[in-house]
Amino acid sequence: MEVREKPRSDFQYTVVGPGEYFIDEIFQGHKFPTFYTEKRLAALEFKLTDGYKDLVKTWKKVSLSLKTFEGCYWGKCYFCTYNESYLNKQKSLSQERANILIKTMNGINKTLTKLNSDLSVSFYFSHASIKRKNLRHMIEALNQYKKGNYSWVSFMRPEMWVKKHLADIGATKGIIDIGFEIISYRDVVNKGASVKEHVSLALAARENNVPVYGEFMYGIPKTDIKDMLYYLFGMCRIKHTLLCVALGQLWVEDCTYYSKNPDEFDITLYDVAPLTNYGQTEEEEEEEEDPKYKSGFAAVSGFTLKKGQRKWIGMNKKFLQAMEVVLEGKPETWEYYPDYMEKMEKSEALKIAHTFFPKEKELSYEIADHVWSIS
Amino acid sequence: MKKALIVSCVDVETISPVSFLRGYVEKRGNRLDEYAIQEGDNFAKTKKDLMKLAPNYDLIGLSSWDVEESRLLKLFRFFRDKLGKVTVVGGPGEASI
Repeated sequence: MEVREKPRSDFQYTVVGPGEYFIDEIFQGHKFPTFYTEKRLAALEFKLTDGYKDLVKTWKKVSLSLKTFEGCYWGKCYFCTYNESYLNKQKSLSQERANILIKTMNGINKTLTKLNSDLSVSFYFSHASIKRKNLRHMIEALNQYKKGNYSWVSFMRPEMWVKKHLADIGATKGIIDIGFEIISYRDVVNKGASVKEHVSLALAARENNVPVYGEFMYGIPKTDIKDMLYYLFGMCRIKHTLLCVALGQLWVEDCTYYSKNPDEFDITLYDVAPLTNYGQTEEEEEEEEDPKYKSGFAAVSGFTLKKGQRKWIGMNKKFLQAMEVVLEGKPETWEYYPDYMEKMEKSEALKIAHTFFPKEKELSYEIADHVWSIS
Repeated sequence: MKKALIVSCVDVETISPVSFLRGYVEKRGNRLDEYAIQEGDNFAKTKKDLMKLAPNYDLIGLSSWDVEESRLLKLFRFFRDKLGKVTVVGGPGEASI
């Protein structure tokens, strides 16, 4: 639900931002406009609501989202709406605020583990990516104040500077959530990264005992067989670094670079629809009531290719079938693994590539050599 | 003391941000409770629960990130128009540090 732009007619008030001040002040009789934007920072005062107290006692793990800051300092990815619906800039986190955040995490962890000493607590930071200066402040605060065995997860861009901080991230039980999107020799989604950054960072994370949550997509305009083979070998190369994988079909949304520049990608925009994936069985597809789904690829992706669509979809399907082998199961959205998968050797990756892309053996050898040369 | 009820939608084994609101609101001498809806919950039960709870509160809120649910929105209109409650929908903002 998006509340950012205008009042919601179903409600008396629409509040954007931290709500605690609004609730307190309206109880004091203060007047507010029907649409109100709160500029103050979240107070970070945690007190577990009653409904959770019994639940927490029965849980083995719990995840909390912690308001750090918002935005992405990159904001250039072709598929992303940050430029429109979120900030595409990021202000600096002060050391003082970082200290408060870590002390808040300590307090929450203490509250929860008092109810259940076996509980595994993890915090998900709210930002879309973290720039180097903000990460330094967080690490400084973690090193100085962290008490308790909780873990924390930060969205991170796949940039080489992150490697310098992996030892500290690992030592403080940090997890990095990286939007790889696709692993290829070129940057097809304007992520500012390609196979070298992706593979190198993931391998370094594993060496430093930092779990990687990887987010990936398929069905990307302008991708060809070389991209898909790089993607396949890249996934084979880093699979043992991943503790969570999200693999979803690209869905072109309004206000993205794709939707504003369809001609650049040789695509025709179609009415957008909710995300699904090719992993569905035919039976499941038939059960779907919405006739839009039955119209196939375009209804899911929001676009069609101007030419070569059938062959291109076939290539993506082959890739997904190969992914089922690589990821040891049907690709799902947000698949958490109980433990790291085994490291894959190049010879095994080649076998998979040869099975699903038998006509591309020569190219496969070339790409496999390149991907395995990255360390 | 005034009382607020926030309806939230949560995944399994997560705690919604409402506990943060509660800490502040209760520090200021008021009361905040949460009604958490999980995916797959029966709406008839949700409606029955909320209809029973609503008269006890001065403010009833809906935390965004929730699934857009027309039956739930209709219920909030009822709380506002028929029960005279302060109703609010809230969501993430741009406040940066």
